[in-house]
Amino acid sequence: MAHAPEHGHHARTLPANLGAPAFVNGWRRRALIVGAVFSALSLLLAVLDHSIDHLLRAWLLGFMICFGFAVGGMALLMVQYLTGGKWGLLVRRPLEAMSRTLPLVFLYFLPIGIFAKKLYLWAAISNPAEALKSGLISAAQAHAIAFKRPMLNLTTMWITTIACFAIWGFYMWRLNSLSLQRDSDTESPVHYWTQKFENLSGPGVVIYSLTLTAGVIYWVMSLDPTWYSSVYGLLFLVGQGYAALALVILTVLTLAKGEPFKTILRVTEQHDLGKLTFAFVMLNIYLAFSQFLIIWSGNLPEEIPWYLDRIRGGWGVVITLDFLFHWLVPFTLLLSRDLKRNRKRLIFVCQWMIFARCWDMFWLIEPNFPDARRNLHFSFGILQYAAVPVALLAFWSAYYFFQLQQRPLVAVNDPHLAEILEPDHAHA
Amino acid sequence: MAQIEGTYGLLAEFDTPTELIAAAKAAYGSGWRRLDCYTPYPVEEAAEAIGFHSNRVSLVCLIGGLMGLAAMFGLETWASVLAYPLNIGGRPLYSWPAFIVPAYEWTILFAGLSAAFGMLAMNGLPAMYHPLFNSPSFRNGATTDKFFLCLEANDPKFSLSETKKYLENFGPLSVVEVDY
Amino acid sequence: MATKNVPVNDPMIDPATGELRVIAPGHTFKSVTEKISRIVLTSHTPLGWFGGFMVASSVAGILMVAVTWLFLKGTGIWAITQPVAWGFAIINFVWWIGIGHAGTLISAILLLFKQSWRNSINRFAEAMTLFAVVCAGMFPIIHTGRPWLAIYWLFPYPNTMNLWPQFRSPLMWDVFAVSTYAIISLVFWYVGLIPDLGTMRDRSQTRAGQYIYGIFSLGWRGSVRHWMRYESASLLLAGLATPLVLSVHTVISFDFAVAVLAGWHTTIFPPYFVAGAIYSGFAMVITLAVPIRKFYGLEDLITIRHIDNMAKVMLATGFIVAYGYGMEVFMAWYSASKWESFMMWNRMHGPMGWSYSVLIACNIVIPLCTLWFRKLRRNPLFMFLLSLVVNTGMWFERFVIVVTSLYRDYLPSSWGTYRATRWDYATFLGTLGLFTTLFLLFIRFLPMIPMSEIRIMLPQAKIKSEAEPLHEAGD
Repeated sequence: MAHAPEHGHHARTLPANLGAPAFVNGWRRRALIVGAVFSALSLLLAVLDHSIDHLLRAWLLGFMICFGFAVGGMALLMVQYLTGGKWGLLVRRPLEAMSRTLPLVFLYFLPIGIFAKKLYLWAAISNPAEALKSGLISAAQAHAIAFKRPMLNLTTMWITTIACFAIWGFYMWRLNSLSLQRDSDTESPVHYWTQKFENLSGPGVVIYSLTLTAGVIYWVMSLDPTWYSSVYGLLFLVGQGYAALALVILTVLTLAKGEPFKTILRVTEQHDLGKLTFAFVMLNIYLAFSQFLIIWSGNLPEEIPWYLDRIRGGWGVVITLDFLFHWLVPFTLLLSRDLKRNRKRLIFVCQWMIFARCWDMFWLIEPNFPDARRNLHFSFGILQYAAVPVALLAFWSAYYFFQLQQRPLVAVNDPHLAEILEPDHAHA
Repeated sequence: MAQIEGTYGLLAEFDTPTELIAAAKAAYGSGWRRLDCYTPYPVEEAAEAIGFHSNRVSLVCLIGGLMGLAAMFGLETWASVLAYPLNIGGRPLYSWPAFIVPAYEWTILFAGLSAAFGMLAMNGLPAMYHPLFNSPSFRNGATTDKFFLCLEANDPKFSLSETKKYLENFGPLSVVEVDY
Repeated sequence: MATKNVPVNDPMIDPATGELRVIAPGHTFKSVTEKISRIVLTSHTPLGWFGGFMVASSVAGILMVAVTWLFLKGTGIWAITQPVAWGFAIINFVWWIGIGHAGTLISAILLLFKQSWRNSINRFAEAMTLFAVVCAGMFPIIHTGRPWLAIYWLFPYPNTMNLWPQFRSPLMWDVFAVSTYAIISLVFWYVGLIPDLGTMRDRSQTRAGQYIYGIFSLGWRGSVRHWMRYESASLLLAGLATPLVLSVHTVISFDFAVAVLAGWHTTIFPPYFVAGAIYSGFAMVITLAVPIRKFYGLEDLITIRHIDNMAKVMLATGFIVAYGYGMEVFMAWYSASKWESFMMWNRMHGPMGWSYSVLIACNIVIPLCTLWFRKLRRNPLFMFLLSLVVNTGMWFERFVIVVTSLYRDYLPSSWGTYRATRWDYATFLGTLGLFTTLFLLFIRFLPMIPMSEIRIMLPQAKIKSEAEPLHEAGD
């Protein structure tokens, strides 16, 4: 049970400057450079491919990942207010910074909304009966598109999207402004603020789960208008937790190279965060596997083609790797107690998990399109999946780092602050 | 087995965990290795103090789990593919997605039993008789509210009178000699 | 709403955090040990206990009669027939096993997440799990009609007929899930009891008590080396029980979802079955905890904080359940399949639509409208009544899933209905009696609150650092 050397036997004191360390500036600069390089690369690929189809698909992937960080991070923040716990003090400000990137995420949505006809079959086909006759779509697709028209049309999609973003925007504003007020308010008893945040977050989590479900059904599930799965919203919910948690731990651990996190990050809380990550790794495979097992066993013509599109024609390799990346690797690594307590290795696992999430999203998105389903093949277009999401994520990260610098990294008016400054125990 | 006779060790009784840990640390630091602490609830610091840092329960558990996984998955595959092949709703004989579920359950079953019984075995339990139970103060307090440090007679540093004095330095409630 | 007026002098509120205390202040290692062990070691059994035991065991007697008659006559005495071939037996099975899940959740997940408030309630919650699994396990076994033959139907062993079970069936998965669950729950519970059995051995005044508790304590003596291995094993068992509890109800949901029947075949089933199980389980813990803490005067160990926290868990899981219902309804439309939408219409408005209304009222409307209020969550009497409502609702959830998906299938000529017989009711009632009987025996003969874990939570257990003086000056 190695004690980290900086943990003495006495309570530590918080440094005077709680702002983000200077090296965050460097991160920002690097993120912007990466963003610029990969944007140029994706333009080049679009020229080589003579089309922007893949650029849009890859854009959707990048959008979904950034969206997962911003809104998933906000949900995690609210869950933390509800459950309490010392780890909350570490992740609160990074999560708040993640939630404040929401305006950028909305900008990321715009190309998807504008070019919806290039992405969504239901948007491209205005008259399903006609399209069926001319052989453009199958009977099942024609039926589904016609039947779901009240929901799957561009007006409703825009209204739903804007409503969802407005609701998330409201929570972003409330959570962030109250948190600053709490810092400066030393008059009110502690439980005033705890309850205030509980009252805000309780309904917030409920509303988040509903709006998220609506969002992912529109943006991703409806790429294949015939297919449906009632667990889809929850799968994304857990997936967002998976990625947002990985990112926030990554942030906390890398920030701990400097003050103030150097002082407040203890091995105990790091271990707790590692365990929480492990829980998300398990939940994620649990939902994904049970969805697969139910559909595989049922083998119904309405449902199974969705999996066949994603297994046959080379996609089996992608899903096998997805299983390894998404579950087996993080599961095996996080099983180890020592790894969860080792800063460097945990950083690696978190980076890995974010990559795995992108890989999984690739498997979810690309096989929806007729040129790619049951047929994984090389084109310049498919390389966009390596270019556009990196560019979007890089710009997003730059904005996130900027937001990190806007506030003290430690919320000071918190009943757990004293506890977290106590010496570390070896307790598992 | 030959009857063991003589002194098992000297037992010091403390009121608080803090005193126990201080005494245990000092004893371990001055070279005692045959010693143990007895507490009414788990005190990790006391285990650290006597140099007991890690245990192998998790290893046993992991091995058990892997054995359960292999056993059930193997059984399912063998029974469904070789011993009793049946077409069930057109599903393949080797229906691995379906086989995962019982294999998973047995992983947990074997791992759990290995952890529980492995822990008992490594602790040498059940052990209905132990010399410490001969001490009335131990019987009265060890599982309720008192903290004990026992320096055992098979440690080379042990000497009845010296050790007794040594233990009394720590300000215990009592120091008693425990016989087999 | 949040208020700035805190009752400053309330001893149950921790001034540092403003939170309710988990344990009332002023307890020592000795006082908690005595308080908990006295309930068991006293030679004076309260009259109320005898009264309860009489009633419960007579109700359990009904079960004996019902099961005997079942074995003599066969499952024809129940209401199951076509088209509803699965009736009370499966409903009760799922209901009972769901109740059991809260016990595992409290002891395992909350242990992993260091929620120390669980320490007061985990022992009897685990006991509840065990007894609920006993009641649950009985149904599939007696449902076979001739359980003595079920051995070769269910268990893979080399028999003279060269038959092997069919591993692609979720009913087969159930056998492994439920048997593993029963064994691991028993082991986890017993491992948790060992140190306390040591305490009982040492505190027992009678020869018989010393012998019996002594044997079952396996000679526990509290060596810190033992404790460390014990702690590792407990954490590992908790870590294993957590995915196990998820998998058990998931496998039960597969019993339905793997079939291709509208109303059963939907991917949300696993998480929402698990959430529903926890929901009803926590309700049952409250049903048991509220009267027990009152009867045995355990209000300072099972505090309002516990009730409040359990109510919050119910609120969260209740919402997942509501989300599940919502997604089922939405997907019935979004699937663009007429079978799906007919099933949902029939479930809500068909001749058995009343059961769906009861379900929505008891599971969604009443609890999810009231649990938001701190005042109500912290009112034991209200929570006790609400827990009864929720368990009724959860029973109806399984009724709705089983019956309303089956009674009107694809061919109108084969439509039918379902009406339970008196033997159905007698068996169900009997298991309630059996559960209560077992529970009463448990609180009479075993410490219902884990003493060793309560000791950890006392302020005296805090190790003072070297800088602080061990004794007063001049000591």
